[in-house]
Amino acid sequence: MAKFTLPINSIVKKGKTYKLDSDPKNILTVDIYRYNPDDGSNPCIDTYILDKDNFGPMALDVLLYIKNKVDSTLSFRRSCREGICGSCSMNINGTNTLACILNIAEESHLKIYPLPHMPVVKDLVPDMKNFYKQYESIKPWLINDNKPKREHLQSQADREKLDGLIECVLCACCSTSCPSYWWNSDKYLGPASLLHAYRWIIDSRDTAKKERLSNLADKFKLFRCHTIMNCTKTCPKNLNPAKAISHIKTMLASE
Amino acid sequence: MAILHWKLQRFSAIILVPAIIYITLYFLNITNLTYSSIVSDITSFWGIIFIVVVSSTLFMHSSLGIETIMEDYIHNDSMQRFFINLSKAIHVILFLVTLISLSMIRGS
Repeated sequence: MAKFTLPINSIVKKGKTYKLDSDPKNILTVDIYRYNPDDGSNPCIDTYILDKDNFGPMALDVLLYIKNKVDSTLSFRRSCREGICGSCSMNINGTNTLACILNIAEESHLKIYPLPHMPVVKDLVPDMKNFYKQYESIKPWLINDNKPKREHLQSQADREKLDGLIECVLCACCSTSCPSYWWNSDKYLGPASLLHAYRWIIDSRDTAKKERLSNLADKFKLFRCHTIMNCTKTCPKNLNPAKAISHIKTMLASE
Repeated sequence: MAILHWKLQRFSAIILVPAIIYITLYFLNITNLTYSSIVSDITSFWGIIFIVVVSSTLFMHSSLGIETIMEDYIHNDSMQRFFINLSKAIHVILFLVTLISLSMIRGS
């Protein structure tokens, strides 16, 4: 049953404010969600008032500056700093995105939260266990019992069908922006896993199309998608998971 | 089953689009019609066919939609089943009321 009351530790309180000693000309105010399960206290929003001239133009530059110069206790994931690894996915100013490719040059106020509706490990670090388990369930590998002498060949036309799918970096921005995923993340696979499922279904080298489709023919795994389109709107790589999901539904319906 | 549910929801939605447009236009023009001409429209052969087809499609579409909402928000299995069955029963009753009303208008 949907819960209409929230647990006590879901109440987010006002935290500390960090100000610069000097009087900055180019001010950026950054509100960041802070939560440490070890100290037993409620989550809070810490405010950092910074000088934009001190760091680079991306949201990740701001976080790295805070971590290195202002508050070393801030936790967040990051790695490639160029939108390839998907580690720094978080909710910035109400939109799930990758901090490393979000230009904040025009912003004067940032509100940074972890990905919504995910258990929080600490600060901006969500627990991705369920997300990866769902990804594993779609068998994201080539299934083909024929052993070629060298590699499985694919025509250029068949390879082009995978464009717009293989670019997904599994950042979970789409899945965690989906209301259906919020309510049923234990059973609904979510846009990211379904986009990857479609990627393998249409791969000309894969021979398990039927099994893959029958694995998805479930009222929760696939059909919880109500075409809300938040996934497509939020994808930081400009992919279209909603389109991939609709293609899977059409394939199942026309079987 | 999930695929059938999805197909029925789309199929019924497609049927309802022209039907709703026709009903809206009919109601916009209702002030120009007399009581007897409206009764005659409803009780004509095609009027009855239209009402039976549209009401059955509408109630089926509504029942499927509410079932989806129940599945989305009610996570307790027994409560979910109870409310889905209750919704289906209400939709069947509404359809029967439509048929009874139609036969009463025709008989009057």
